[in-house]
Amino acid sequence: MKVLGDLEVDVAEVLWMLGPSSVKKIHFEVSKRREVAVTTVATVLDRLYEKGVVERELKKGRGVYYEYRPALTRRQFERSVIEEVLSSLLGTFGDSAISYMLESMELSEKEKTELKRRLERLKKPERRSDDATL
Amino acid sequence: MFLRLVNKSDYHMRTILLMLPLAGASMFLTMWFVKVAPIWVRFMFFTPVLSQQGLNSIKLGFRVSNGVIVIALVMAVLIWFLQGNLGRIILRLYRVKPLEELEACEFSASLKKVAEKAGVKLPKAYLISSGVPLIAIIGKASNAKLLVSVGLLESLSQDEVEACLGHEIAHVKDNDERIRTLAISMKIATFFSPLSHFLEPAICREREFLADKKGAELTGRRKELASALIKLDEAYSVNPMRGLLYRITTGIFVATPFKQAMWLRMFCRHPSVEERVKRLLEET
Repeated sequence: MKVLGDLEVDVAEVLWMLGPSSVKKIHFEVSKRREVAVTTVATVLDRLYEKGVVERELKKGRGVYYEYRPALTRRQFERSVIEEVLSSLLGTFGDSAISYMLESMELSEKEKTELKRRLERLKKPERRSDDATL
Repeated sequence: MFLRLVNKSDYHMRTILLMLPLAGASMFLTMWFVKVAPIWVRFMFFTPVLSQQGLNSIKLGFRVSNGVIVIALVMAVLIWFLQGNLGRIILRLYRVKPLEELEACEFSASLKKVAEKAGVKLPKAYLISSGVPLIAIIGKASNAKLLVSVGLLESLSQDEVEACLGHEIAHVKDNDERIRTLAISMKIATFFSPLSHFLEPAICREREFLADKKGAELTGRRKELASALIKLDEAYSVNPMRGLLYRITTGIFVATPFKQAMWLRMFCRHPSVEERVKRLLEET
């Protein structure tokens, strides 16, 4: 899951709030937060669709339009983004990243052990892939 | 520079004025660059007194330059004849589906109305499955195909869609596909002339201005066309399209779906939206 830009976050939040909606309905809500053209909202939704954050269904009748709906709940999305950021940090900085996180947070020994165990688990797939390439 | 002598809104004359140097001067420059320049350089700097070896190398130079010119001309002719098939390739690349009349009644009615008013054969409509607002026309007047994305139909008002249709139908009426293909073929034939790389996009830009003007006259929706262009430009500048496909086929759309650096605008086949809107509103 890719991290989203400012406008993408606004559009995704509106979609989580509204549920399945058309571009015009989403634009109406987004334009309460910021000044934006309906065409811009349409391109942002297209990008969110490519990123797998939203799903869409083509509706036909008097006009043709997409009905967009969230592909993930807000919680699922946040989790996937955090996982990606952490995996990327651990993949790049390894143990230094774990040490920094443990030092910078005020945690009890028990919580530290649990956090370390979870972070190690996130780090393992990266290492395995490294071993495979070696 | 010489374009300043002609009225800004006399687009046909401006096209001819751009086409003439492209056909003539560019050809001359190409011949000079490919044939004369190497001989001149060799003669001036390397073989002031022509030896047998020098003559042989000039003959070889002639053969190579002839080959280059022949290849360029063959490619230009091929592009000209492939024009009809390019449309089919674009349809495949964008994975479009035919848009039936009943699927989008309002759009189909507008298309019929504008085509009838322009006196051109009704183009076949195809739907691009994309949320990005796009509209384009490809093919000859007798077999034109109109490509429209779901994103355009769902985000512009019906009047704005009709104004965009007016612009595209004006391209069909003026046979702009032929003019563009001719310009591109000549650019390829005169590839080595730097002039051709400025003239070909300049011709396309004149045709865009003309299509704006005629399209607005056809539909009577000048302001709506201006507003549609502004909306499309905003969408493209906030979220520019990515990918080679859009880059290659950018010329077919109503506006360029990218952010354009100022210094690159002279190579762009679309004029800036600011200039187009300015002219549209000036002509009111």
